[in-house]
Amino acid sequence: MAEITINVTSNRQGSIVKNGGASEDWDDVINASSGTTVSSSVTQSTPVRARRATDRGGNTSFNCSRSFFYFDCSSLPAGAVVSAGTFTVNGVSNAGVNSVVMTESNGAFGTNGGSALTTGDYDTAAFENQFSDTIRGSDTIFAWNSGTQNSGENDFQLNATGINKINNSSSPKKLNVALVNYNYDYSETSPSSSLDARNGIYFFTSGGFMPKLTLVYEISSYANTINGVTPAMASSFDVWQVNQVNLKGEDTPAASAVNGIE
Amino acid sequence: MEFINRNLTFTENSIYYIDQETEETHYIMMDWEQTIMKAHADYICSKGGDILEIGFGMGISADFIQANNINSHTIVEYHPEIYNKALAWAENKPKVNIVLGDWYQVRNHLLTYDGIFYDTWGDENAKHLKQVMPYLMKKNGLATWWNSYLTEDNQLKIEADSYEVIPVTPDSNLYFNHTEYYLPKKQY
Repeated sequence: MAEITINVTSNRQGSIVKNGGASEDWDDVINASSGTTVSSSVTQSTPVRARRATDRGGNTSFNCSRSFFYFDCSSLPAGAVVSAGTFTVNGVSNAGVNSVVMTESNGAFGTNGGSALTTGDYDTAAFENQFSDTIRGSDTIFAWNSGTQNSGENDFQLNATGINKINNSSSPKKLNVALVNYNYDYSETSPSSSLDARNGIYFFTSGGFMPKLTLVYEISSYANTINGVTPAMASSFDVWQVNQVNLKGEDTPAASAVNGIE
Repeated sequence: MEFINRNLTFTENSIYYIDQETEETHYIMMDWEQTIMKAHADYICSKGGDILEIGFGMGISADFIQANNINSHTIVEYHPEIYNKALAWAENKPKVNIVLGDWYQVRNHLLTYDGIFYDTWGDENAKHLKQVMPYLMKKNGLATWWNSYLTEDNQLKIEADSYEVIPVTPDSNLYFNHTEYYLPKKQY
């Protein structure tokens, strides 16, 4: 097995906030189609947030912030199959506020796979399924709801869903990650009284605090084609033979079973 | 942190506080509101009499109320720093009574009035105003209140008789960013 560390793509990361209007309730805010991109900064104190406040004349106002991270996994070698992964983000104060990590593989931040985070990514198409009412939460990979955010590094181990998102992503392999508040945004529960639940985190920097993805992988000989000869194939002649037989339509064990790969 | 515990900054043009944890600046009142403060004041003073003002702020509406012909002017202010500003403002002004406290907590110590203007910040008891207001009004008394909504509706859900639409040009802030202000008017 081998390991690779991938830093977040600098212009496809950041937070987007939706500030509710005077007559907008929590549902209006979390279901908005766009927000406002928060100006780029190394550290932000409110990139993941659920806020309810009473302001002028007894008016109730709501704010919601979500953070987004795009990882270009094209540096994985050809044939690499990811078996484990860790999303790491450095926390800045506000420990203990519940947030949840969500993943998606095939989209890209920026409208229609654009090159930079846009205001529409607040309810981005890349997370369309995750933010829908029907299967909301199905692609959750880890959450701060079972622990507390550290001021230092926070490691989120990708579950099978998250790993498969990378392995099954279209070329180039990629992973989109979102951080949203768990108790109010993800759970679609309106705060019943004034509160300001927020996580502070580090975004991309030239230093050592940038969000990153650490992947453990192995090269799958099963992924090789019969028409290309690679070092992996040269050392796995039996697998090459099975692939040949399969192409002829004979009833033989699957290559993965022969190779011991699940 | 509750608003009452915020350290406020007073400038010639505004009152604001900075949330030390988020570094966000929250304006609570600004001088672009002169026009609408005058309209609020002139409405509740249009019959003269005894006036109640809940929330002093920058004292803009208080000045306009004083410019009308009234019998008395009672001001309830919750924030201690603004309360001190109100006390200073009231010096040498006859018939002015400044009350320190949450309007809802001191409501039983108030009298009845010919005009009431409600304009607060961070008031968690605002939801009670609809129920309490009738007990603070004299017959045919006039009431108006700050309205954040850009429609003939308001956050207090008090049914107004009418709304006066006033064009405004707000400076950048987080509490009101429309170009029209719907001023509610109600006679009890």
